[in-house]
Amino acid sequence: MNGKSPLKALVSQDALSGLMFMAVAGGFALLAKELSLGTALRMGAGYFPLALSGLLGLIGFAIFVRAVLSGCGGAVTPFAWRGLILVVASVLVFGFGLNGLGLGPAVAISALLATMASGQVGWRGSLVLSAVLVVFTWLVFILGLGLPIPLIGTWFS
Amino acid sequence: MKLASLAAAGLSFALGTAPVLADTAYPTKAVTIVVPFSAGGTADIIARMAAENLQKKLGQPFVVENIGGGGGVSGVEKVTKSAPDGYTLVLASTSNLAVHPTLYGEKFPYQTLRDLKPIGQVSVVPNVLVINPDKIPARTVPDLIAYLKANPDKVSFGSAGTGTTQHLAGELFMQKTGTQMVHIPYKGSSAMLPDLLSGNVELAFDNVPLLLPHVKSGKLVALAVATPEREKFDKNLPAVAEFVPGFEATAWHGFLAPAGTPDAVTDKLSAEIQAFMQQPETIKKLEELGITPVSSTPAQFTDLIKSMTVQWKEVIEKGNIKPQ
Amino acid sequence: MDLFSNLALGFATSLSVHNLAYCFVGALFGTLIGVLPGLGPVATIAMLLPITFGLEPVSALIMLAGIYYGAQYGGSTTAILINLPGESTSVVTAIDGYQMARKGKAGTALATAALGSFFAGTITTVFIALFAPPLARLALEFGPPEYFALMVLGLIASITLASGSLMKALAMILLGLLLGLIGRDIYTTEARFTFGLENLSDGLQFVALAMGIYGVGEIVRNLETPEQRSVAVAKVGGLILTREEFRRIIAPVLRGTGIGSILGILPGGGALLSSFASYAVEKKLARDPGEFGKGAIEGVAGPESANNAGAQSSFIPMLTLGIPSNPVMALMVGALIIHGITPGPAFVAEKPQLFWGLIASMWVGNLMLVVLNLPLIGIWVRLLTVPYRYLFPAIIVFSAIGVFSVNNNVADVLVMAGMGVFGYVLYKLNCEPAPLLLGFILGPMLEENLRRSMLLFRGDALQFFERPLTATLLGIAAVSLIVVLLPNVSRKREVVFKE
Repeated sequence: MNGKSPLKALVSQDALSGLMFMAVAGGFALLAKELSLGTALRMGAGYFPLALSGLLGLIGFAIFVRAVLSGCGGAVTPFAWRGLILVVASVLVFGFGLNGLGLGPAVAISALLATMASGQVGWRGSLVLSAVLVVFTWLVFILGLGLPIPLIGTWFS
Repeated sequence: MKLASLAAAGLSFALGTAPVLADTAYPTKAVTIVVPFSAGGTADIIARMAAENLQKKLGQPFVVENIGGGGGVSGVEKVTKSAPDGYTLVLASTSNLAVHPTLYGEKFPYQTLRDLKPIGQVSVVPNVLVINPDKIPARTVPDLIAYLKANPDKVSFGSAGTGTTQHLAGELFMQKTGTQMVHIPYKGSSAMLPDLLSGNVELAFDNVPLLLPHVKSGKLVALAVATPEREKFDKNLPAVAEFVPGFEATAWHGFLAPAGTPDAVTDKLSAEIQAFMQQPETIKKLEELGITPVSSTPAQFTDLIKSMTVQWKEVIEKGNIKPQ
Repeated sequence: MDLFSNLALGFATSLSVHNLAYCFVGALFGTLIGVLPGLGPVATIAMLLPITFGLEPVSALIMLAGIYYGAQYGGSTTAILINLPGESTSVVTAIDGYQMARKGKAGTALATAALGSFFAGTITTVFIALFAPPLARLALEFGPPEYFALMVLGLIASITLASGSLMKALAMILLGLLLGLIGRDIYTTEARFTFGLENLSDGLQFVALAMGIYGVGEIVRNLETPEQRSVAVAKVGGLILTREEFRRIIAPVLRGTGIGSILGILPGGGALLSSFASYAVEKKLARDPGEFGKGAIEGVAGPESANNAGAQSSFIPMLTLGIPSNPVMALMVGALIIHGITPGPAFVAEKPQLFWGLIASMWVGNLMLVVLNLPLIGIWVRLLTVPYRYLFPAIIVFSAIGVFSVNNNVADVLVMAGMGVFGYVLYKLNCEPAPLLLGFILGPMLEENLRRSMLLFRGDALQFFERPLTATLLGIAAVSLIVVLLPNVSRKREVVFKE
């Protein structure tokens, strides 16, 4: 934060977010180029997104330059990889598995993965929490609200 | 369960609709009817009414599942990929069946008649041609055509979105009459309505239930219906086809199963659905909603899908509507 | 006097024992489902709607109104307690409400939301009863150019949602606008930024985006510093507002009610803007704007009142013109149609019992909510004392189910996972998400109305300034932009001078 070393400035929060904005703007612009541009009267599908991504790119560039020049943009703290991977995996399992596994197993696996993310719950706690969630979601969403998902999915039959 | 299906079989026999149905034990478990839109729309209403009836007749639960997303594509696509055993059906609309596969090109995930097996059409939702009377002086279709010819590109017509029957109706009208208007698409009919009422857009083809209250209040003037013949809700209102021969632009709904579903199953369903569509209560309830109930065979429904696909394909190509 | 006989008819309908019971059951179910993290009003109503199909029209509508208010309040509850907004309007509530909760003032924030909503609901009920038909006409004054101008104004107001860097807030708005454009273009039907996936052709679903960025992103962020969070909320604090706090919320609630009831009338997205507009106004008027984003009670009171007032007055275009102004209203129209009622200009005259019954039941629903929720606040707050390591897996599961249930489509759950990663990256880069969400909501409306206006003007952009209402709104937008940017300029100058 206090250091003015150029390298530190390059990987500061502000500089990196500037780069991210530029990258996203570039991506959108690249994709928008394949769309019809049209005219001001009949704007095509690409007109508005192209204008927006141009603007976003400019602002991203400004944020980047300012961060590098001023040399203070806040350091990026380390990523919580374990948490990120397990939490996202938990959601993905639910999404990909819901139809095949059914609500019960999908909830159970999701909850198990999620409890592992904090690294503070023992296996017994994990199992109990998963079981509670399975029963609760079954009662509320299948019995109570009649959500169109089977409790046990097609992969098991 | 047995008793119920026996009773159902007996009932259908009594109605004399389907003599073959005793052959199949279908259904032996719950049947899902996919509605590719969120709850509460026209398709959803019909599906729920039909589901209730089928459940009573066939003795197994018929569950309506609303799968929204992708303008109906996601729901229909899911059914095309389901097992062809009669336990997954879809209630789809004109755009799903006769427009999207043409409009959205080769990468589109299904082709209607290749991937689905029609069971029967159940409804027509008539479109009606309305104008904002403060903006357009014409009060008849011929006057309107004359007005449009005298003022090319002056009138804006609103629609529920590019490629909807409301939009294609306008395109077909322009192509058949040689007139020019500017198309203004909206995200659904109800988004278009305020602009039609206030005169920002001056003309539209849209569903009767939406427009009728405003025609009654005098804010809008109905010139004609887009069905081939006059409709029951107002026999004094002419059909566009009386002035523009061959004009037809309506929305409709029908039941389909995944391609490859056994005939025994679809025949049984077809018989039940036809019987249901002919019940006086069904007819009364749907007509109250501004929907014309239809009872049709699988063959008739197949023909409708075919002919409408051809018609809209021509309009789309001629009107240069397809995305490049 | 007409008003009184009408309202009397309404109350006679809605206060009948069984309708009162439906209203209560609706509000209770709405709250209970809506308070599950990840289940916002849209998901809740989509799930509960079929229950009402079997009822009489009046009872069905009254129950739905109860569900709606309950779900909305439930959504605000999760926004305050665990920073999880279930719908667009509670994005704003989450900003300061969650900060209040972190300071141990969760109970106060929840009570503020309930009282503000109730007050706004009461005023707006009278407002609708008095002016519904003329207000409906006002809604028609707004054509595409006016909406475009209004959206521009809304975007400028949204810059104030951020408490950090202005440039970053601007970039986040633009990013949100771009994300909002994903999907099939309604003008040319071209699929934009969908990578050929039909599931994306209706665009990203708001709930999936919000649950990803706020739900998943927030959870991973909390996992960085184990269990520090539950310590912060362990001291729950008083549930009732102090006299000082009560004094502080009066003006914001009044302003919020005004803003919400006017904007709610506009079917093309006005109600969505009301809570954002109220927040922007409160932040500008506050003696200490620096407190906003750190737990300012005004930042909860104003937007929550505006939100409820807007929700209520958005019934006006629905009932008098048949035009739904948001996804929830669209579901309500669907429910009406299922019962054989087409809302429209003749609705008030033809079904006075239903119309006035519904208006009265709005108020009854609001009352129900306060009666139901003030005692429940203690329970909700106590939920926070559950150790986070047990709470967050439940949040993940419920959010996933909630996102799925809006469309019964698993693709939305996958979007939520992707947005979770994105949300965490944004947090790492110190980019505040609220402006992005507003941009996401406004993006499609901004583009749609711009293109529609240009078509209607046949390409002549000068006509924007020939329409008095549009010109006025654009003028206000220009002035607001200057006002929004000015303090920043002067602040920067101070920094310069210090150096």
